Amino acid sequence: MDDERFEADLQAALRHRAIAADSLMDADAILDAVEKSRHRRMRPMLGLLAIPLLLGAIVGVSALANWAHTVPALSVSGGALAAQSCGSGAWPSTPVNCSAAEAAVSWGSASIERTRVWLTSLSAVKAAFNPPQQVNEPPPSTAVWVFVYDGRWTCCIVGQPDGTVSGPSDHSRWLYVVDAVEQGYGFINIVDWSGRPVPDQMPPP
Amino acid sequence: MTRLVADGSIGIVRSAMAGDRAAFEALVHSYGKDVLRVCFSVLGDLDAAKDAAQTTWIQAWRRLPKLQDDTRFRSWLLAVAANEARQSARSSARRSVRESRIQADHYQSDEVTSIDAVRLETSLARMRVGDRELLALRYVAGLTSPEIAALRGISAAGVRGRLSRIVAQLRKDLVDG
Repeated sequence: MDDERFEADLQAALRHRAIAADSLMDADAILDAVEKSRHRRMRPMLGLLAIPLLLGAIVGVSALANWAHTVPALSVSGGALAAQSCGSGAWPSTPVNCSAAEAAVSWGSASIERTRVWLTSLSAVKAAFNPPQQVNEPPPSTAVWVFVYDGRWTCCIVGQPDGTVSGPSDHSRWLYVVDAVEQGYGFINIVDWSGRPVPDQMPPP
Repeated sequence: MTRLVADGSIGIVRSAMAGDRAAFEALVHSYGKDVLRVCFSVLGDLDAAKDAAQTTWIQAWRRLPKLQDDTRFRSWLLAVAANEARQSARSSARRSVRESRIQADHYQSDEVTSIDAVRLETSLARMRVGDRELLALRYVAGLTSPEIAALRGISAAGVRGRLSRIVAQLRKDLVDG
């Protein structure tokens, strides 16, 4: 048997051997394990909440109970104008800060010409943009970072406000919403916003 | 939950990178068997392969947002799988040749090559786990030597040379021996 023939036979034998593992495929079990792991990673952060209690901090029990989906109150009232970048905004402290939220996704070959960013609530995003639900969403009161990008981006199939889908196609404006509370795995929504208006202000969370 | 992504497109990887759980679920369905096959190829044990595959997906979910090139998702994912399987193999006791012969019975019924399944299993069991990992990535996952080299941070020539030695040893065990 020559070398090429042996290598081809070896490849066939190894692949045939590996197929034995196909019967183990259980997507539900995998997704369940991923979900459990996600919650385990949240525990250390929740554990930190006990520190203010131990130190006798002036934080009421009710405030702690609400912590999971609130951020410290903003000093501004009414609507807030968009910042041009994370660095140019004066933000309150949030478990997921603006830069981390923005860095959670790579836009690949997109060309970004303008960025607008707010810290607001998911309900405010719904009211202003009416984006279709694309993933499991946190409660409407959840604080979220909202980025509106202008530029050029060729992307995947995306949802439209009327519930239809389109793509892959070129986008000149797109919306990106990130949970400001849940580290890393929060609600994120991407929707084509080409040609549609952007509000001047968004209310604080 | 509404699924608004298309299976198999780069868009689905991007959506998953952005935290879309429906997109991630689609990736599990698309690549779940590939991951299991690589894990089993490295470990040679079905239960251990299942555990390593599960850990692979947990790692994939955590690391996805940092993936540099979404067009290389499959090779990246299978490299994660091989790595998890290698770590699992090193932390568990080495299987005996006798056990591996029993495992071979699972798949030797269909003859697809001239290579004897039991002898192959015995040779693989004697092999270093890193060598099994390389075989899995090259011959089971179908990655090229440059792809493996890029994922492992070594030269393509180094990958080819090591594969060549592994295949030569297997040939010696399975044909010449």
